Amino acid sequence: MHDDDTPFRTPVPTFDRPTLLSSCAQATTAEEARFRVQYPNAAPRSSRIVALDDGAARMMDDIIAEPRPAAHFLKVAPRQPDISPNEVVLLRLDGDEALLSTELAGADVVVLIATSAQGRRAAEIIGRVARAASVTTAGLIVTADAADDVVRMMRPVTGVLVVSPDADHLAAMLSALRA
Amino acid sequence: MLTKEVNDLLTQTTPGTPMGSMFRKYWIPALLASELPANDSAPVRVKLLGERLVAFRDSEGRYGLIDEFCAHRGVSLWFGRNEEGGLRCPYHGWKYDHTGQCIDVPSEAAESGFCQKIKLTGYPLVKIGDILWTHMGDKAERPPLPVWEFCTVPEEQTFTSKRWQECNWLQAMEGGIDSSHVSFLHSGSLKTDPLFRGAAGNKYNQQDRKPVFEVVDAPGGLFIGARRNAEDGQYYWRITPWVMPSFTMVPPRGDHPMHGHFWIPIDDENCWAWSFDYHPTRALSAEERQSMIDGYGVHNQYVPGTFRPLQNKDNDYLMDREAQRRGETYSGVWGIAMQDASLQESMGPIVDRTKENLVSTDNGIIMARNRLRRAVQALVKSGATPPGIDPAHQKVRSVAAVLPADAPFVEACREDLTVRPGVKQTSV
Ligand code: FES
Ligand SMILES: [Fe+2]
Repeated sequence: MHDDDTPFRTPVPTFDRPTLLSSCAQATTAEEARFRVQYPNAAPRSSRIVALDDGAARMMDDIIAEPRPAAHFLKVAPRQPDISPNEVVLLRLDGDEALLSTELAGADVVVLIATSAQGRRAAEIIGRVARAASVTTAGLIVTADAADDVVRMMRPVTGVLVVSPDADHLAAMLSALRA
Repeated sequence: MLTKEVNDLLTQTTPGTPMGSMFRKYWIPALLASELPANDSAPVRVKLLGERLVAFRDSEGRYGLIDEFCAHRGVSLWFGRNEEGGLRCPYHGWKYDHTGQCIDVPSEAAESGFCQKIKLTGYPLVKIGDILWTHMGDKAERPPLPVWEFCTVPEEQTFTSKRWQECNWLQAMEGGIDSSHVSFLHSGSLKTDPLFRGAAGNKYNQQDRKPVFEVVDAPGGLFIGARRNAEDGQYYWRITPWVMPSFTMVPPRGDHPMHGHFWIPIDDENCWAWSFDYHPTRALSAEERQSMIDGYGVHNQYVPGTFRPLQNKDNDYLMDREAQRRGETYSGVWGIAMQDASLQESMGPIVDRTKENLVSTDNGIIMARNRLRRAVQALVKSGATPPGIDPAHQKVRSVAAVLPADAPFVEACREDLTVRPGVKQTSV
C-alpha cells in the first residue's frame, strides 16, 4: 500500500531517567546558557561580491561605507578584452583591474548581484569557473518587475538565489553571512 | 549572524517593545475553541505576549479575554465563578463582564455606580475555525478578521492542535522557514509517517538530498522554493510560503492534507506552536483525523490533560538511541514536531544569534529576519501597517510541482500559491 509499511512507533514514556545538571531540563535554562564556551568558532570568511550590471554597481556603492575587511567588492569591467573563455576582467573599488582567476583564489563565497540580464556573459563564466573551483555562489536579483530573463541567467550559475525588489537585502545578507 | 540589538529587537514581544507592538497589530490565535466548550464553562488562564490573561465564555456565549487579576486585591480570576453573565472573583465577589468591565461590587450600593469606575484590560475573542483569535492592540486600528484558508474551510476538512514550546518564538518559527533541515532531521519520518508516506513526490526527495533554494520576496512575506532534479531535465519544487509575522505552510505531499504553523509568543522564553492540517476540497478521513489526534505529522502527544508535549525537556524527549542507530529517526527523537522542538529548545530560551555561522542555504531565514526588522522599524518610525494584515496576504497555499527547468517558480505557480475556493491544492 505504501512505499514503506514499517509501523511508525510512538515513544513509550519511562520514568526512570533522573534529571541531572546536563539533562535537557536543566541545560536549556538561561542560567546554563551562561556556561556556553566563549570563543571565536569560525575563521573569517573571504568573500567576493560582484556587481554584474550598472544597477547592481550602484547598489554596491550604497553599502560599501560599512567596513567589511574580508570582502572584495568588484564590478564587471565595461571593456572585456578577449583573454580566455574562462576569464572576466573586474574592477576593484579603487578602479584597478583584477582578473577573475586572481579574485577566485582564496575566496570562500562569491555573491553575484544582478538587476538585469546585462551581465549574462560574465555571470556564465563566473558561475562555471567558481563551480569548477568548488567556491560557493549565491545570487541576489534586485528588480521590481518580473525577472524571468534574469532568473534564467542566474539559476544555472548560483547555488542559492534570492529575488527581491529591495536593495537593502544585500547589506543584510552580507552581515548575516559574515561576508 | 545578527547583532545583539537586532536579536533583542526581534525576540522581545512584551508590552512596550517594538516587536510586541507589531504582534499587537495582528489577530493572533489565543486558544483552541474546544478549551471553552460551553457557556459558563471553566475559565482558562492564557499568557500571550507577556501578558497574563484569563479567557471565559459567559452565560450568553460571549467570549472574553481579560486581565487575569481582580482589580480589588489582585486575586487570580481563574478561581472565579463563571455564571450569570460574568466572571465573579471568589474572594470578595467583584464581578466582571466579557469586556473586563466591572459589573458588581457587592460591598457598595448598586446606585453608587462605583463598579462603573473599575475596568480590567479586555481583548476581543472571536471564533474562526477551531481557534479563538484575539487582537491585543488598539481597538481603533482593529484589522479585518483573519481569512486563512485552514480556518475558513468547513470543519470536517480541518484539524488544529497547539503545543507549548519552551523557547523564544523566533527560533521556533525559523524552523518553519529553514527547508534545508528536512533532508536530515526528518529523513526517517518521510517513509513511515502516515500523514506523509506514499506521495509520488517523495521519490524526488529521496533521490536528491541536496536541494537548491530560491527565496522570493512577496507582499506578505516570502516564498521559499526548494528544487530537486526530476525527469527530463525538469525540477521538482517544494514551495513554502511565510506570511508575517509567523505563519508558515509545509509544501503538500500527494493528496495528504496540507499543514502549517503559527508561532505565537507566550513570553520571551516560551511560545505556542500551533499546527494545522486541512484539505481544501474534501473532508479529512477518520483515519487521518485519528492520526492527527495520535500525534503524527506535525502534531504530537501530550502529558495527559495539558498542552505540554509528552516528550519534553524533563524526560530528554524520550531519546531513543536504538531507533537512531537503526535509522528510524535521525536524531533519536520520535515525531516531526518534537524533532523540531527538541533541537530548538536545546538552543536555549533565546538563542544568541551573534555567535551563529550562517551559510548561503540559510537565506530564507536571513530574508525573513530582514523583513521583520524592516517592518518593525517602519512601524516604530511612521506607524506603517506591517505586511500580513491585509487579507490578500493571508490567501496563500504551499505548492509541490514539477516545472520546466527555467521557469521562475512564483510566476509559474502564481494561481497555485493562491487560495482558490473549491480547487484542490497543487501537489505531487
Ligand atoms: S548543523 Fe545546523 S545547527 Fe548544527
Ligand atoms: Fe522541521
